[in-house]
Amino acid sequence: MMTAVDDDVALYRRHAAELTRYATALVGPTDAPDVVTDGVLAAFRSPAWPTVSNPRAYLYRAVFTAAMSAKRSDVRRLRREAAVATGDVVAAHESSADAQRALQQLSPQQRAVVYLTYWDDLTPAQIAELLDVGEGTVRKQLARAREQLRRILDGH
Amino acid sequence: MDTDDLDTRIRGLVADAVAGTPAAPDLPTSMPAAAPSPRRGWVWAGIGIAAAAALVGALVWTGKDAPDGIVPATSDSGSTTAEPVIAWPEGVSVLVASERGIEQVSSEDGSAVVTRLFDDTPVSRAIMLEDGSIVYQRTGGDIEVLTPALQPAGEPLVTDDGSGTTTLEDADAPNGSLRLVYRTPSTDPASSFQLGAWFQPNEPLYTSPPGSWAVGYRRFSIVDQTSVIAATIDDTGQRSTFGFGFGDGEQTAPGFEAPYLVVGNGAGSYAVLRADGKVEMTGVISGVVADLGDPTLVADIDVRGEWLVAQFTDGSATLVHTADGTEYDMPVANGVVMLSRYALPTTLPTPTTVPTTAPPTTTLPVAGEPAMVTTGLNGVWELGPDGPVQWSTEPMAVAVKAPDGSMIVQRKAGNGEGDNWTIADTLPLRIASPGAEPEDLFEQLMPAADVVPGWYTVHDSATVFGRSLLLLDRQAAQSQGIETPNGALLVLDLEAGSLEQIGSVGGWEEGISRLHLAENGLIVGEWYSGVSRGLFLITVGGDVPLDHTDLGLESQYDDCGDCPRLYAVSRDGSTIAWLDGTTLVRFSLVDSTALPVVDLGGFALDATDLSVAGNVAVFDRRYRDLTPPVLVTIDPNAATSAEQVTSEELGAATRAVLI
Repeated sequence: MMTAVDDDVALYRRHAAELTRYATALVGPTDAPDVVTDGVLAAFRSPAWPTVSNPRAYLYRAVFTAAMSAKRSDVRRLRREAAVATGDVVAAHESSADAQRALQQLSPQQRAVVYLTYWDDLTPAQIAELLDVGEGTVRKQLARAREQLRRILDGH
Repeated sequence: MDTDDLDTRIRGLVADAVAGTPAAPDLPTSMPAAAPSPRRGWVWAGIGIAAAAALVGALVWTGKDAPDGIVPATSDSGSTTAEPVIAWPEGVSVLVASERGIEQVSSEDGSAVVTRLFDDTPVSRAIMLEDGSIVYQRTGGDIEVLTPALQPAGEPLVTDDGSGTTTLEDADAPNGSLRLVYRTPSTDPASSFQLGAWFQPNEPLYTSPPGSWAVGYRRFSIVDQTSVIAATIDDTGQRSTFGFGFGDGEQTAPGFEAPYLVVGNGAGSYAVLRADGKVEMTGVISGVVADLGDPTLVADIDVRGEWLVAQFTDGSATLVHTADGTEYDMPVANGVVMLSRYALPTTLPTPTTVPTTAPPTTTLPVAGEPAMVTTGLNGVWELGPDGPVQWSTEPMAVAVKAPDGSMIVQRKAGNGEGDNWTIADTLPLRIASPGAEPEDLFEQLMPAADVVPGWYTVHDSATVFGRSLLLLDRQAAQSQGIETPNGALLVLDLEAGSLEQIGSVGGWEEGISRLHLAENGLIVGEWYSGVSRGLFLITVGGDVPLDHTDLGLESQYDDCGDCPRLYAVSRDGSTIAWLDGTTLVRFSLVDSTALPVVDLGGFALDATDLSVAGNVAVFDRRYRDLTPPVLVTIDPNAATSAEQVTSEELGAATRAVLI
């Protein structure tokens, strides 16, 4: 018999890859697994979870919140620095380092909107629904992100 | 880079960024639940995950009623991660200094976002200055500065003598000049303390008098350019105020009745916490602005513009919009809270829709944004309440919004003889909608034969007595020297296509500034002739209702570096404004009275154009490719001062006009 836990596991497996890719765009490959774990677990144990009508959108928002929190984590910073010091990371992702650096110059909200626009090909209306924000907010963030990226790509 | 190229490159950038996506993590298989779920049966052991989550210094906090008002979004508190967070007004930023370091509370789409700026060491007070740099004091240590990029800015401003008793009291940097007040132990054995000031580094700002041991001084704060103030309480419990002026050496002691706190706002007003718990402003701003309850529970307050932040003895804090009493709970606690010194929004909050996961009755206030058009290396943008809209990625010399909603632009403006551009470059172009290609305006409206060759400059556009008009001028080549004819000042009817000359302007060694067209037909600007200049004032049809004498101006100013200049009229024709030195002068045409003047500070010396609407003004500045415009909001209740507002879009522009 399928349980609610089974449902959640199945749901997570269905979206795990895309959530991890989304987290990578937000915080980079080193922190992405932790961010996904934190976000998904926090969503699952939320009192609101049983009544969520769009679980995938909810998980995206949860991962985003976890990504914002991750920026502040001394624990993760230390872990990241230790990993870099021992050469465990970065080398495997050398090719994406420049792109990550460019994205990191955007705000978290801008990174999310850029990723969903240019990777998932979502429209502002779809992004607004997914992230539960206004469509105008999405358009504003996207416009600002594009201008910022234009300057970065132009080398300014 | 055109739009398609940019999109292609961003797409590639994102693909590169996620190319190194690691494998999706496995979730724990069984854990006891922190809170039972009616639907889910997850049982969270939670050892590794919950501990890690609890250690996360969360940026986003939820649940204002949670213990201490603080609930990390990913902690085991039972809060949800995706629900909207504490409301916070756009444009208002506070710094919280604590054992945690320095945190900044600001707004992202109407919600509070907490960013830790500095976490190396405990900090006793931190103040963000007007330029984004931060003055802070390590607990018991030196007073130092972080640059806007959060890098240490050289040597400490004040070095503690090792006793750990130096205290940072207040700081700001109006007009770019640092004002810093700090307290140090007195070197005089009869005195309890000295005040030091960054602007008076070689001698104490003030040395407490003998006997002052019996008096407790609360935080000293800056009132204005020449005075500092603090509330006091003596050993008999008598509460009073101690203030003094350092500009002229005279002591001043405003007679507030038994205040619990007296704090200056840096712009000429005091906030007084009274025994009844109400905060009353005195000075340029006056009146009761907040009710904080039991005053004995208020640890400190800080005021700037229309904003007040109160810090309570239990570690909590509240932000108050004094204009309407709206309160915002501080999302972090147990710290010393100070409002950022850069311009805070002075407009009233505007309700907007909340995310659907929020309680449906809640509204998030956001600051209104004056509508304007900007041009610069970032293209042409329209900024307004609905957010920025890019009309063109091409930098334009001029852009004005037409009454029909289109944008009139010019790639070049005015006489370019000697420059590497031609008369054709100055033709007005119309962009029908954001992103559309610019099209020749004359070609759209009139036979080609009717277009007179010349160097065109577009000035403004407005609906005047029901007609959609574009104001522009046309100058002839200056090859005839002193015989060069004057140019023509023209209005183009954007619907009828008729072009009408309404005056003669320019000519040999003569010219005009950008002219402003009001809906009542007034045209205001400045004329130049050799070393002389003065107010340019005409109307489209009808008589000119006033002249320079009505405004208290001379007919002309000769060879004068700091005379009145940059005349403008608001779109609705209600206000004429100009610069006199660094002072903004405004004259109401509604009731023919001069409005209080506003001291703008040094940036006004570089101003090259002025646009005015209500209590907002925008200045273009010299070195246009390098210096963004300045938006100034004028507090009508404190009209002798103004606050400069910056924004991302404005900072990337080089020219702006209010619409």
